[in-house]
Amino acid sequence: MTDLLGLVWAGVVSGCLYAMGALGIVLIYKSSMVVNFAHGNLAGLAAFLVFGFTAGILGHMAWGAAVMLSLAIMVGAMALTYLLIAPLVFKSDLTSTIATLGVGLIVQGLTQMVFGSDVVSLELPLPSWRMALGPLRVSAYDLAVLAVTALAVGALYLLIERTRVGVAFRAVSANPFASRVCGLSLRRIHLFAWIVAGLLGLVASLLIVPTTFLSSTSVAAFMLQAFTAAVVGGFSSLPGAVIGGIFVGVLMNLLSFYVAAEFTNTYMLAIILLVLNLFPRGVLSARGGARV
Amino acid sequence: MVHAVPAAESGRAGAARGLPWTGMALGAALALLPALAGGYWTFTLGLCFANAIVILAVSFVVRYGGEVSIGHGVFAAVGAYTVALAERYLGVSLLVSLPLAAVAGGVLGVLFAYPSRNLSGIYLAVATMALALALPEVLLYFSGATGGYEGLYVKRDAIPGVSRELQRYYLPLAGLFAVVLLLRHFRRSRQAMALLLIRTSAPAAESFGVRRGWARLSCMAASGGIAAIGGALLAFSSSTVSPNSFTLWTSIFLLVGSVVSLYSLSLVGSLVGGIFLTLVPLVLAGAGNWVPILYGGALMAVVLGANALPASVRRRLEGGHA
Amino acid sequence: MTAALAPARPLEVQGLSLSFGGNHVLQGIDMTVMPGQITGLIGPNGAGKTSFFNCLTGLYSPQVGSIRLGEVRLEKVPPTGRAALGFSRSFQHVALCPELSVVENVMVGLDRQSAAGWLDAFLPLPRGRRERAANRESALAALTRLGIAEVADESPSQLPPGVLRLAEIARAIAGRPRVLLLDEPAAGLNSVETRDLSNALMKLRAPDLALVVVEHDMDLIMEVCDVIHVLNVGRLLASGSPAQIRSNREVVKVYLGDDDA
Repeated sequence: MTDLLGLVWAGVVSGCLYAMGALGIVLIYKSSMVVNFAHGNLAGLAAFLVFGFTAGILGHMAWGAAVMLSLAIMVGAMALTYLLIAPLVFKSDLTSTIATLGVGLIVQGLTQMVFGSDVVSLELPLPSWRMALGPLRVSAYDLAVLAVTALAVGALYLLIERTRVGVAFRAVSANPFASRVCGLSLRRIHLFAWIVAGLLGLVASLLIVPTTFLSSTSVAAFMLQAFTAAVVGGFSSLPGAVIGGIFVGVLMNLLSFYVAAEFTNTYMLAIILLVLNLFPRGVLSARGGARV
Repeated sequence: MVHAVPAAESGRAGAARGLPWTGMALGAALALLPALAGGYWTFTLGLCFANAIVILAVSFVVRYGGEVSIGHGVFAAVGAYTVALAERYLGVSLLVSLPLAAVAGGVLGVLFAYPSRNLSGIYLAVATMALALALPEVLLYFSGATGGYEGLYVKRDAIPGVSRELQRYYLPLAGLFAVVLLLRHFRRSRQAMALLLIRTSAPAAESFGVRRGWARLSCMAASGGIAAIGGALLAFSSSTVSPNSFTLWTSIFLLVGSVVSLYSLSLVGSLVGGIFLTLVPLVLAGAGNWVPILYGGALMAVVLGANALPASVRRRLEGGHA
Repeated sequence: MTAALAPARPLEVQGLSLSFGGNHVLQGIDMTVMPGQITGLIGPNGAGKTSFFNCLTGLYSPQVGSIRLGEVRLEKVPPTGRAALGFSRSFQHVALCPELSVVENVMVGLDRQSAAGWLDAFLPLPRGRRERAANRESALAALTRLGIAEVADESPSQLPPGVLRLAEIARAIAGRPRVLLLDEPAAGLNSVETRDLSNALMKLRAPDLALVVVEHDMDLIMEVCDVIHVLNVGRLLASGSPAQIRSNREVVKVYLGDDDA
């Protein structure tokens, strides 16, 4: 029983990170109907930048400064990515998605060129204590993840529900044509969504590093879990992304322990196929249909 | 009965009537090439031909299924491993294992297509991505049979008496010719017409008895079989198979090759894709990190460039739903 | 009208009702469509013509009532199943594949009856070639019947809407259907094209074919149809010959409004 609780707990923690990745993907999809296949590579690059700035490759900064700088670069990178594929966004979703693959490849190459393909260790400035909370073993890392996720989700909620740009985002997601008629600038909303998604991705990838180490492929691999979470929750649902993330995290842990640990991606495939057969548009889908 | 006189060959609609002169000239040139070029080229081009076949499989799904796959490396892997395993456990050469590989690819196509038959667009793309990422796990789990990380060797000659070097060139070339011809003939078939119609209008096709499920399964089975043939020839030409040759990147690069060839099903088009796929890593051997950058750049250039073309040309090139 | 030919069966609708949520779209429709006749279905906007049409084609399943082709009950049969029973239809928005030539598009209408397998698809085997040639002949015959055989090898993307509509109908009749359902065939056609359509439709009358035309264009309906049914707010308002319908007060009122104060 303690095993089960511990697995579920760890699953919730990693699930939070998948949720953040999924939120980014869903934000982009809801606003611009593009699946950003470059998300993992971009988030990974961001984590590498933090590494580079703190470990001497690009500078010797303090953590705070490194993260700030990387955030700024991420904003630029996401904006640039969007602008590159902008001509395609209104024409065909599938082609814009293919274009994001192109961006992902370029970013992958850049990451490898600057930082090499080796695994590096990036130490997060977190205390390393752990304590026992009833049958659970809770570490500072766990709490940090939960806290950051709660903060991020809360901030996103406020942003979407309470600010003007959030309202505009919701309008564009629900009906882009009508929004345009009402005078909203679709491009600006898309940029907003992409940038916020990029920031979420950066945070998620930094937090995932302690569990997977950092290499040019590790963050991209983590993105499959985020994609699965987005698929499970319904690509058009932000709350669905969070629920999907936690669901995937917990299920993954249980399957790895009780069945076999080597089949992470196979489980993802099975989950995707199973969920989409039972719930064709995801568990919490808002609107369906693909405009191609 | 008065027959309508066929209009002058319209490049766009209907199965092509005349002979493909460019393709035939190119084919003849390739058949004669080993007389002029050295071993390096015959080896490289052999791989290129095999890659071109897999790229044809990806383009097939785009053209006839209207879907994009970033998981076709898996079908190629099935073909490659069938050849390697058949050699290891049954002692047979490529000539026997090639048809087996095609069947294996077709079966896997159906096995994947069935649970994903109602998925389309991005959902299907994500599923193919998961498929591509799941493959190495399966291969490594059954290391005893598949040789794990190191993989297996493919050493048996297919045609006794002919030099290995020439076999590695001509067999993939023959395979490529065969696949291109088969696909050319396929275009005239009623199945092709049904697949093309259901892409335009599912209700119309269904009202004539063509079911969506059938369309998806057939498309993936045919595509899987073709990709497996390519994979089998890849294994033969490179003499090894390992999980490294069939990662998600492989599948993404295959899509890049397909896009660069503008989803062409012709000899010329598939070779453009195949050459791009095979030569770029070789030419950039010293600066390997430039490979994904170049592929990514090419992908975006082609996609953005095609987008700038007039609508009529674009409609022919792009493989989306109407 | 003799009913002697065995394969020809009437299409019978009894007590058909369809609702979406609380919205009663169709109520208690009784109708018999006889083979050998051209049956028209008209009604003002919102009368339920499209919904009724969709019930006939299998897109919608009525909550109450039955649809029968001869002895076979159809309510639960999906569109692909109805195709197997000899149903064929055209579409309001032309559904021809731009990548196929016109004759190839028409050949799809014969797909259901074709036997060529996957081996024939990839390899030039004699059986496949024979069947393909035969199908092409049948397709050309259908195009000739509609009067547009000369465009057989052209691409639909380069043809005017009138020709496309006729091509679609050719596709629908190529397989010798038992029931042909035409959904607003005159939509988007100019008067010349409508005339061509009208002539073509009249030539389609056949003892083994039950032909239903849903239309807005009154002239077309009056000229072409033997029997006309009028729908209004989901109910059958009137049925009869064109002359009877033309002089039916209720129908006139529904279409032209009540002039008397």
